[in-house]
Amino acid sequence: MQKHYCIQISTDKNVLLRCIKKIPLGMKCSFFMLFCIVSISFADVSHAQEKLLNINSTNKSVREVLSEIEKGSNVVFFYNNEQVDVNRRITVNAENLTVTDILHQMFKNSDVAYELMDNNIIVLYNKNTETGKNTIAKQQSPQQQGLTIKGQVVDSTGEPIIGASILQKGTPNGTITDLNGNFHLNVPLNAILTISYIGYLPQEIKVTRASISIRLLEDIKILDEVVVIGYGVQKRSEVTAAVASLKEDAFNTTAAPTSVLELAKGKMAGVTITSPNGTDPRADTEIQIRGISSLTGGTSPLIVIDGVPGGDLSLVQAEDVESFDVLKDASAAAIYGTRGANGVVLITTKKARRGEQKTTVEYSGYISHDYVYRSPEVLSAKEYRNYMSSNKFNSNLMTDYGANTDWIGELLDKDNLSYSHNIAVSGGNKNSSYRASAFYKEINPIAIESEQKSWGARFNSTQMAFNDKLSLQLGISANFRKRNLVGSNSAFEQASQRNPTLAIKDEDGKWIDDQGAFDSYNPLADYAGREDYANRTTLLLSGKATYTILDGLTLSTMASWQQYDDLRRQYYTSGSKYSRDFFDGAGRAEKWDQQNITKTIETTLEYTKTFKNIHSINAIIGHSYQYHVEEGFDAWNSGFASDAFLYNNLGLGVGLTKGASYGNMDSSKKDNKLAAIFGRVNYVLMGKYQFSATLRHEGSSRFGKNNRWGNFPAISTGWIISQEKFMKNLKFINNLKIRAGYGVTGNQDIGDYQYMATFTSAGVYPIEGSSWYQSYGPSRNPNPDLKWEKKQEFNIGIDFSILSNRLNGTFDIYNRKTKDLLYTYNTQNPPFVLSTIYTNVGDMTNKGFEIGLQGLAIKTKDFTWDVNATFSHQKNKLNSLSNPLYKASYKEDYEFTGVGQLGYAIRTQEGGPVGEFYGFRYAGLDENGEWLFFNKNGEAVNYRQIKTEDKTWIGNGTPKFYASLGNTFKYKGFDLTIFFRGKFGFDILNTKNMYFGNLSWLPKNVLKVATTDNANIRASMQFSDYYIEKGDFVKLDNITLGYTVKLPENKYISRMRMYLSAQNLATFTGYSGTTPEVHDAGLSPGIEERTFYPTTTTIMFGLNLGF
Amino acid sequence: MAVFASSCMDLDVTPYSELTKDNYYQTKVQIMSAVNRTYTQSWASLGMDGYGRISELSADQLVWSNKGRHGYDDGQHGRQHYHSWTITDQACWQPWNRIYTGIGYINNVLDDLATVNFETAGMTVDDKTAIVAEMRGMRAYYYMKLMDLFGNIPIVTKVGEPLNPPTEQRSAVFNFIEQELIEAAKDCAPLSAQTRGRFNKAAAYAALVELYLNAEVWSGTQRWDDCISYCNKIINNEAGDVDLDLNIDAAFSNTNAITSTELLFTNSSNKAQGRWINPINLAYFAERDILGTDYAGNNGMVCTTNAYEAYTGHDLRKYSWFLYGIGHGYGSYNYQGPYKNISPDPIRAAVSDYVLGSEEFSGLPIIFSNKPIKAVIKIENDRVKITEWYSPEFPSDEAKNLVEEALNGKKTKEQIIKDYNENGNKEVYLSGSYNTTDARQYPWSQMNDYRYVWYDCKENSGAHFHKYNIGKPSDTNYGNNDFVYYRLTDIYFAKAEAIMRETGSATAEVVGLINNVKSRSFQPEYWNSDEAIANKDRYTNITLTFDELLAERGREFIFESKRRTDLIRFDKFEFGIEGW
Repeated sequence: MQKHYCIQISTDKNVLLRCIKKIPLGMKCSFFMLFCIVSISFADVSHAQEKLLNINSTNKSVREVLSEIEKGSNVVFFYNNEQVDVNRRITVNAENLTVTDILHQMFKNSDVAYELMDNNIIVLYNKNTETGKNTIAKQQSPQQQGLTIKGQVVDSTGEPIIGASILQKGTPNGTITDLNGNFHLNVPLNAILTISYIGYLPQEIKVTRASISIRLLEDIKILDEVVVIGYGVQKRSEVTAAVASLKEDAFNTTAAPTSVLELAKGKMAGVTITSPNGTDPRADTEIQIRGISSLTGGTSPLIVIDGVPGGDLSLVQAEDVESFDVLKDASAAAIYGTRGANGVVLITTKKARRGEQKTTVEYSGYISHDYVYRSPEVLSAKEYRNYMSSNKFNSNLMTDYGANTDWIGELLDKDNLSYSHNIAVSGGNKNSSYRASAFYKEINPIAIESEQKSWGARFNSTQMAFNDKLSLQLGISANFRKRNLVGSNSAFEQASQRNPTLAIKDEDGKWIDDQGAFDSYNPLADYAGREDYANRTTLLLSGKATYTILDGLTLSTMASWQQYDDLRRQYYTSGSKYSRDFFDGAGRAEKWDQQNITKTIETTLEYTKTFKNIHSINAIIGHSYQYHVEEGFDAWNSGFASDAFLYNNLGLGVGLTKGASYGNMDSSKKDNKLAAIFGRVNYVLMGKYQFSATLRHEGSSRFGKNNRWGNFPAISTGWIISQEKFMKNLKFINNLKIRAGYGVTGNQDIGDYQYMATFTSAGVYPIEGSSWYQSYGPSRNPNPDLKWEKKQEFNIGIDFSILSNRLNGTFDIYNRKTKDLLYTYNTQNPPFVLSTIYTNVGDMTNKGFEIGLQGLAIKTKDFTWDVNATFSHQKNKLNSLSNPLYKASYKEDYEFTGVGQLGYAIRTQEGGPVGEFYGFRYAGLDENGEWLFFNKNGEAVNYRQIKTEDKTWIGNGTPKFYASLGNTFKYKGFDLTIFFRGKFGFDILNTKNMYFGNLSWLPKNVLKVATTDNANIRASMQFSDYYIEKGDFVKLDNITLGYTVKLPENKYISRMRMYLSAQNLATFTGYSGTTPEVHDAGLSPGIEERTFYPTTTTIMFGLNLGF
Repeated sequence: MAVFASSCMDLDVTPYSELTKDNYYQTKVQIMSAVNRTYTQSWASLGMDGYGRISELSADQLVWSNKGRHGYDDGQHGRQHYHSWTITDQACWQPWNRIYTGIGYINNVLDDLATVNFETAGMTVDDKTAIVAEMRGMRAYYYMKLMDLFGNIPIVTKVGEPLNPPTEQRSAVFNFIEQELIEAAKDCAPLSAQTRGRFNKAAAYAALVELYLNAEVWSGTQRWDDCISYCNKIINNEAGDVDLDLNIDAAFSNTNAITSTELLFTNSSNKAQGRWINPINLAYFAERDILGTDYAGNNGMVCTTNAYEAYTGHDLRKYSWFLYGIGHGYGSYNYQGPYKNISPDPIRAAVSDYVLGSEEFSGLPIIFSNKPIKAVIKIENDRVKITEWYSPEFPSDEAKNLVEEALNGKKTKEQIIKDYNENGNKEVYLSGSYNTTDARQYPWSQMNDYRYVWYDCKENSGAHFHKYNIGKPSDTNYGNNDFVYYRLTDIYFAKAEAIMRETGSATAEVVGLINNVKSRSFQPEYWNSDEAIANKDRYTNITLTFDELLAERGREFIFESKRRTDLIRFDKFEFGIEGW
């Protein structure tokens, strides 16, 4: 990996830091030589090499001796690790010798030559190599009628570059710069000089004057960064599709790495990652790319882990991720065509580099603590009593039970502490390398009864054989997780509405429950009466063999086995409310397990060749086959005589003998298959004209026999305009590329056997009056024509780099259309048996644009300020839900359940946007405090006279704009990241306000707002735009302050970084609810629900160590 | 390459946990299980979320009232009550889908049975004939229910054909149903223990009785004679032995499948197996605490005041079929009938420990009532004493004492005394309104302004359902009440009505038929008294008018989803009934 090949011996910080700065962090070791600078600076300007030194070293390494020389003089040595074996052990005894004499003694029997440069620099090199000759060649051709020019090489900030090479083009004549970036060289007039330095773009200059100054531009590594594109990698500069990429350095200084998706949250334009359930370890983080593109199929992207499609994210720890790449548009995702409709996320894990000699050990760990950022403001016991004695509306319904209970607070673990340890070992030699990591993570979140423990390990190895023609890779990862599922969001809903004057337990220590109250219970009693654990074991084994048949032609086969096993067990104790209500007060136990196995085998043949440096071609063809099988088993029983057995002896209950309401068992098994052949050609002409074409032909067993197979083509092209001659004069543009692509991707993320006519059981009925058997009938209307949902996408993008590469950006604009939407349509019933059929009708479009910017705002010797910003906009529209056979003009989502059953919140209409709230318009309150709504004629009428047809569109829950702004400051060893994130242009329906903010909710507890802003409402809750608010927010998502400790050279610790991080520190919003961070994926976005998980702020201390 | 193509591109899968037509229909059990699918569906298609809900809520006996924050439900129940429903209301479109799905299962099984080899499944050709007749009869019965709700409807007898079936005129549908029922009646097995719960010959005859009784509405032609002739077939035991039950509860008890003698067509129940009447929409929130059962209700539908008040105080149905008032089992305080001892679980049975309200009457004993109740109290010797008692419905001292005992219960007393001492609350309202000047104090059926009819009820407003008494979880037959579609009582009423329609007034035979049925609802000494005649409990050919016949049908068939059809036949569906 990238390392700082700089060894500090000097105590002079200035020199050291200058050295560090000159070595770009992003060096790719495969590209260039490894330089080592050993430096020291005493004030003695000239003839330092003439100084007499005393060196007595026995069996020390060359490196150490050179250091001693530097200490004793003010010379600086430059050498190349590959040319000079500095680890060689030597013995030097020198008394009062010059540096030159000592060097002679050291290297007399070796290949090493040395050359004195200007001032105090001595270059060591291997005399048998060309490079070495070049660097000293200038002395040997003292020259040619020319002039001695003087110059300085600086970087974009004006800082001198030490050791830059200056070479007269076409000759061996050259030199390198000194500590101040200066050089002298004897060249003819009009000679062309090539100035180069690693990590910088080489520059040519014509000698027209005796004194020249050269400013080298950093070679922005993003341009040559390798991007993972699915079945291969591509140079960033050659990518023609909309691909976003995050590398390890983007992870390191940002948010605490609690999960893989957290690494990328807010950092990629168009990639929406949301955690509506806050920091609940048991909740899934949602990820959606470029908005929703399916009504009933999955809407999450395909996850590919190290080439294994359909990978489980729990298998990868954030610490193990090397890169996170997202194929956003269809021209990129078409290579995974069948499952690419929602985009593809490619996770590449860290691996050891082949040839790396040293074994490295890395540790990273953190501890974290959550505290509540914001909770629903319900009446405290005191406020409850105050209102009760106020004689105001419904205060006579209230009851003071005498206690003071903070119900929400009772569900919190205020002393929570979570921690994580991750250790990774990697090493290798010429033919093999490995990396192994293991972790243990315990999350004790703010909510009680919700903890999660997980542990696991990964192992990757690569073995080369047959003269590097065969590469064998093996990957094993396992994850063990145990979750406590007792805690629930519903409990917080119960706590919010529970009378704060109720005690938790009575004097006898018995739980107090509401007797028979509708939809109400004591959440703590519920927790106490239940045990519920879920274990999941996830395993991924993958192996890949790659054989190089000819130069540039490789054959690979990858096989993988991914499996997860869930085991869940649940017990309701004999005293619990549930047992009392349904099982005559006896315990109820359940145990169920599920096993999912996915087997994949993929074979690819790849050819890469560059002809005459003009034509560069990469072509791949492949076959992919995946089999997935799921088996489940579930058994439950009730009527246990003792609670002692929990779920561990199901047979002891008597419920099973009493019938299906008291005990039951069930098992199931289903499978699906995917098979595909695919190919892709990438062609680059003269480095600047790029073309790519992809085709995948794939079949899925989930579709009807008539339409199983689909074709998913894509084509894209790119043009680096900045390499054209006519652009060369535009100095401020360093890189400019335009891209365009079109592709078709599919979605097969639906249930198995949906097309098939199957019989299913539907409850018992007697045969001959008394023998009860299950009845069987068709489970669905068969649809042999069921086919792929297809998404067509057109994308145009621009990549640019301007102002001396200090500002880089990407702009993409897209238009995607999903056709043949899979939807459950109301079918003709009659003549069909069932009233719905799952079929393909309708289409929807998503349009939008995305901007990603990276800027280097300030760069000085000690201080840098990097800015990363993203901005995206999207618009979804459901064009049609009908065809001549099936008609539906709208789709309803988010039904208000429970009390009042107020219908649906969201209606997606043909021709309208997704996520549209549909309901009544608030027109005030009448003299009785009852709702007035506008009817369709615009008249304000009492809510009892309002009709369904008076409902209308009253808001939209899908954010129109997403933006993020990340700032990274670095000062000496400190780094500071401040990350803001925001969503704009959307509405939120506050259902907490709608239900708990209404005095008719009494005698249950209400929000404070019920007694203030909403105090005049005298009617029960109704759904209207009264409860819809603007959701726009900016969140200070993360602040991380890190410090990398400068360690003296030692055998043990090579790197040490500590950081303090805080997440979700502040939210700036006009929204009055608890959090504007609500669901925005899927079809019912923008709803703050009644059930919730507390919104928290997390503070974290972490430590990273390298050994 | 061929090997590659066949194995690596193979997409065959196995629906392991599901059956397909190809591997089904091998044995008698399998054949009958497919036949039974339509009966398990009929819970949904004809039950309280299908045919039943719209038939009850659009009529005048049951109402899904708005009770505080509960029951508004997007206004849908109110729209049914005031006949302003829209096509998007679930209660309107759901019966269509659910009944046609029931028909679809029959069409599907008839298609499949055509190719099944009955001999290898161990059945006879006669079995096949009977099964086909049974299915066709059941299908016709479904069509009759659809025709009743929707009028002109498509007729489909084969799955998927035609794709877009045309709508037939109601008279054509009528003719189709009539033909199918007549043919089914020929081959259906007679009523017996083996055919209970199935569409047997008695069911076919009873369906024809219903068809002919409503023929004028449905086809435009009166068919009274046909109605009477099929009534006679049933009464004469031509479809199997039947006889009137001796008491009002036998037909609905949890042993009705065995002990009732008058059931013609039912849907079988076995709660332990998950199949039972589940009166969730008709049950109070804490019904399990009231009755000592194991299910909770959502306190949806309750009876209108009219429906409840339509019974005289001597009518045993008024007590046995409702939960009303307060006391042991809520069976009301002066009830002396066979269910006198309905009571909660003995452990919970003490009056001082009965069910508390959870909404408007949170913390107070729940008294199901149509009218407000107020108690003025004082505290004496740490005991709540009622000094004044206002209850138009329960004026007796017995009721007052019962409530006083309840107010002194463990759960209520402390709070009442506290309120009394701290806030000076000397009045306790147990039902209706808190504000005596509020219009809402009046019984809601008397209010003509719709705002006060089904809005603004309280959690304890109205009499609650108790016609099907499911028993206690400890009973062997707990919840095994078969759901009744037709019973012999239907036939008596139909025959009486048909004769009355033909003659224009009640003949002695008509009076005999109705009184024969009705006498079961009264204590014999009262029934035989003149008071019973004066109260129109026992009819004479003068008191038994058409209005009275409709009223008596209402009393007898309440909760049986027949009311809407009756009101239409008596031309009383749109207004004209007191309380509308």
